[in-house]
Amino acid sequence: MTDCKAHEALLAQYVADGQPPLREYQALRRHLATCEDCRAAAHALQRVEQALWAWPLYPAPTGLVERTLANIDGETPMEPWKPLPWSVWLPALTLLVALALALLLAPEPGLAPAVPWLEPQAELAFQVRLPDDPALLWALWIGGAIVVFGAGITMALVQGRLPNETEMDHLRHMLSDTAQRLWRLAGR
Amino acid sequence: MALESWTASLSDPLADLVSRAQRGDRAALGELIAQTQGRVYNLAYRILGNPQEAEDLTQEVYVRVWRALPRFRGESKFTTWLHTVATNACLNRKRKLRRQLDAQLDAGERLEEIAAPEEGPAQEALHHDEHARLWELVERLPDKYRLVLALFYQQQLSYQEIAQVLALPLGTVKAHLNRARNALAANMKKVGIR
Repeated sequence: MTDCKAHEALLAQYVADGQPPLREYQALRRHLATCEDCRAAAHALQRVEQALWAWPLYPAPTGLVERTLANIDGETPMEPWKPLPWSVWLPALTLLVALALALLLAPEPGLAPAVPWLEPQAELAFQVRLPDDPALLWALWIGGAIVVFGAGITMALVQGRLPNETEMDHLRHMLSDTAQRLWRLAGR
Repeated sequence: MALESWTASLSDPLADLVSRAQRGDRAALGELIAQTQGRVYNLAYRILGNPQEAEDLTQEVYVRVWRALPRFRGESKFTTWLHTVATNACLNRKRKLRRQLDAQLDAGERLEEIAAPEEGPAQEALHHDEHARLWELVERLPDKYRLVLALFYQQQLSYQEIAQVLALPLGTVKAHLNRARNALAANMKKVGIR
């Protein structure tokens, strides 16, 4: 019985694969030669296989193609995927770099920006004295970050001229499509 | 990625129709739908268990496919992509129907009145046949098992393609199939199919 349990997991796959003489099934085949219960189980699985392969398809309703095409008529296809132009990705990249730097250089009261990967005693060429009041310090830092953000977003959107609608539409489509994919993945 | 796309287009018999449909060829789109609608309709019927729902969903799937067709880059076979869209749509619709059913049940309706199984022509003709009785057992399996069985045996997708459609590891797909096969064999015995 213990032997039967051990082989049970492989049995359905073995039968579905057409009972091939493969090395991976050698132990199972030896077991089947001596175990009547497992042979009966294999026989039942064989009948399940036959029934499943004969599982009929429902005929599609008549006129479905025409009805579907009529439904499609009012629909507009999405824009094809295109790589983002440099005028969008370059400012976005600079924005990311600015944000990363702002996070890494988070201030400590009374000190110049701390660079985490440097030894604490390392001298920084640009070390300056910052206000001791933590509230003022944080206000300066957050204000700086907002300015960097604002500059990056403005660069990304304006590019020194009016926003290019096609690029923005494209960006919006990409974002909405990515959000939908993530949503579907999360739904699973 | 480019190599994948190239090999997929070589092995995809629908690649030419897809490419023409992407360029706005309506006849090619009609042909594409005609060649694949049976798969979508059957998958929907298997999951939703109702011909009207299956037809509505089939139309909805092709509307989605048409809208997203310009973004299909041929990295997989068209039918694999189509099955992914159809499977997601089926499961979403099923969830919605289940919520509606729950609300109706809460309102005091009886389960048999709402969920009476409908029989297709094949089932009616073969009602007393052993295979037909086994197909009835399949209808009682949980959705995830019925889905993998339909994709493997009816839609004839490979294990790899099913894994891609359902975004599951290959081993999980095989395990689902084997559990479904074992459950059917056990149920067959229980209901006296000898």
